[in-house]
Amino acid sequence: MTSCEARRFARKRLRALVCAAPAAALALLVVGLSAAGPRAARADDAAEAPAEVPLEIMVLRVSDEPGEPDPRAERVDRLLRGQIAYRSLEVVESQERELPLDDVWTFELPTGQSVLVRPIEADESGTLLALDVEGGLQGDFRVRPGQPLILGGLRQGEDKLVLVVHCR
Amino acid sequence: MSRERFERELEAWRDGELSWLARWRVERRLRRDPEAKRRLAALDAAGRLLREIDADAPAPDVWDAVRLRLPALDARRAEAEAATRRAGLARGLRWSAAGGVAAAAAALALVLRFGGEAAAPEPPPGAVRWLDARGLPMMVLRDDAEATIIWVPEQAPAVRSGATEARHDVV
Repeated sequence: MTSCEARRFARKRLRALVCAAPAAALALLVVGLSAAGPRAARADDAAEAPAEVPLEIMVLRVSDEPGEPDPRAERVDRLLRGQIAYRSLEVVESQERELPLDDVWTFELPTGQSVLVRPIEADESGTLLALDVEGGLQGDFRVRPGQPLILGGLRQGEDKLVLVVHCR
Repeated sequence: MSRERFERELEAWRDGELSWLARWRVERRLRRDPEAKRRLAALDAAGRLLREIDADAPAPDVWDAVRLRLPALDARRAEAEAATRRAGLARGLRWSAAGGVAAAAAALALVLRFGGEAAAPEPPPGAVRWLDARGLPMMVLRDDAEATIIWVPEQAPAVRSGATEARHDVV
């Protein structure tokens, strides 16, 4: 290859690099934004992740005996009507707590059974709760604000207990 | 015709390079001039001697000649291919520049539009992620965006409507 051809190739290569440089820079910018977007979102989530989860747990009793409706259980009553046969529903107990993540909230049902609640993670889409009813069911639930978790059927005499978990 | 000019024409006549008129002139002189005949005989002898010398000389090795050319040919071909690659790369870079700008614009639009949530899967509307009733009968009566209702009866309750079948693992 002569020196003239070498210079021509060098000029072509330089022109190609000059043409490609803005596109490469833009591609790097986009890749950076794409990579930084989720990280920023996760960072925002982490920043917005509450240190404590506000939980409300209600214990209700459903009975075949007639009774006065309880306004505190009006929504649960509306949700259960048509699903389960009962005549009255009353609130036995209601508790609220700001529970740190991974802390365990243990309380006792009127039946003597223990209930363990542990928030695993929380974000804007709700709180992932691990719940364990002694001798009963256990599971993991993504509880969202305004979307109650209703666990029922625990027998107490002739009545049945209903556990309602709210995430505020 | 001078002697030098006749000798040039005689050599041309031997090589068959003369026109018909020049050829007729040289042949007429060869018929009439003994000196011209001697000169022609000397040229023939010199020609034979040269052919004999060429015949005795070793024949050139064609493969050696080709082999010596091969590295040069390879080098030249390599240079040409490299130049083609460079030119192709330059063209590719130019095309990739245009394509890269378009793809980058589309990706930027997506990033600006959806941010980091574009790739995030939409979580299911229900709350149940895992469930175990420890062998007890269980019914998930409802699991949607409004509420999750799970019933664990010791005896089968009187379900009126909308109940799903019992299941032990709901993910």
